[in-house]
Amino acid sequence: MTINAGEPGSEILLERCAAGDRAAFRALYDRHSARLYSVALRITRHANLASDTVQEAFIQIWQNARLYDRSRGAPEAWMIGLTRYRALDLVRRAGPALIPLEDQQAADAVESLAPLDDAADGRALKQCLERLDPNRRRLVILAFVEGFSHAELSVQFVIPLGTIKSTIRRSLAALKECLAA
Amino acid sequence: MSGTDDEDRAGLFVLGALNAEEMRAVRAEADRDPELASAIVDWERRLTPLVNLVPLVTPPATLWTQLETRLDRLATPGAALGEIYRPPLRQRTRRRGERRAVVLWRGVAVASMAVAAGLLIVLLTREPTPLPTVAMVMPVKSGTGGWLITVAANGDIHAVAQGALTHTRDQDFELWALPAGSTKPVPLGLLPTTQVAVLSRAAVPSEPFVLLVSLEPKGGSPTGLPTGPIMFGSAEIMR
Repeated sequence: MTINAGEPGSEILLERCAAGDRAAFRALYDRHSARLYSVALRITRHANLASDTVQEAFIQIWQNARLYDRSRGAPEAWMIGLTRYRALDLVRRAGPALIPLEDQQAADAVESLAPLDDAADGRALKQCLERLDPNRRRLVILAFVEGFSHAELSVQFVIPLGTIKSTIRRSLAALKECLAA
Repeated sequence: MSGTDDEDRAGLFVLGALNAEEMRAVRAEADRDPELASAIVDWERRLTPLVNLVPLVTPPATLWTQLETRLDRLATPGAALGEIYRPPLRQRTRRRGERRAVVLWRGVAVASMAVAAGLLIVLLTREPTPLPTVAMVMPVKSGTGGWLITVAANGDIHAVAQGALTHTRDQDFELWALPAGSTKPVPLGLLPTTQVAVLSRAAVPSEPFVLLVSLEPKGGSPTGLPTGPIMFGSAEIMR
């Protein structure tokens, strides 16, 4: 996301959306739709489902702009949350057996953490992820980026469900401790 | 619930590792438990940078035009908010009122801004409109192909053909819904063998059902019930 000098920030655009400003909404869409669509597409694995997900997320953004609270983080993080939870709801309802894990882009996502260097708060997260055992790191990233549940990870990696759960729980605890340091 | 449990569940919720039932349970509990809600906000801050690992993909141009059409149908943002969120907001108002009374009675300070923000987040991550039902319709015995079926809340069905689907020129694939406990499928429409079809306002049952696809004469079954073999089916679908 690039914001040119002189353009209003996303917080300002949200305030204008809350006042019913459709031009501000369009500007918000232009700025964030690719990120939200990418996130939804990665989780739903289907262009139509990703479009539906992002459409509903933007409707929520329009309707709830006045409830956005900057104390909960940047506008983009708020919008990403709306999109991710909706996409996760959708694929969970379809069930793990119904949406095949057809693409192998998952592997690509875990190979390089370099994109985190340029992200806000990304560098610290990258350093903490690099401290994790590679297999643990892979599980955490696949769960977040691909939306894989415990059960799906268990099937994909042929690891008992209980082991997957305990490994992820320990990995999150380690991440939290590292990020707090 | 202990702080450690809150931390674990909040982290797993944000990570996306929970199943549908667990996600619903965490949402419901976070609406009542400010500590859990606050823990979810913290985990979102920690993990959201991971979206940068996903290469950007430009959405189709139709997404904005569809969105504009939806916005045109909506009233002002404030009115729409009331319409969509009335039940949760009423519950929230009531709970806040009750909590405030308890707080005053006990002489304890009001909840922190962070906790309020946390509650707001959970409220905002709840579903504003019913999610479409999604199912794959797969071959019941052998064969290839199938359809990704999305049933919208208004009954519209989007059917996306997947893989190799063939029939002769004088045949069509017809989609049926078989309600739980019934032996009479309800016709929903004809399916494409390539690309996407929209079956508008189909008579989708309100009770659990399975989707079936039969091979019928061109134009669909002449009797209102399947006359050809059932070749594809879905798992049971709850709406």
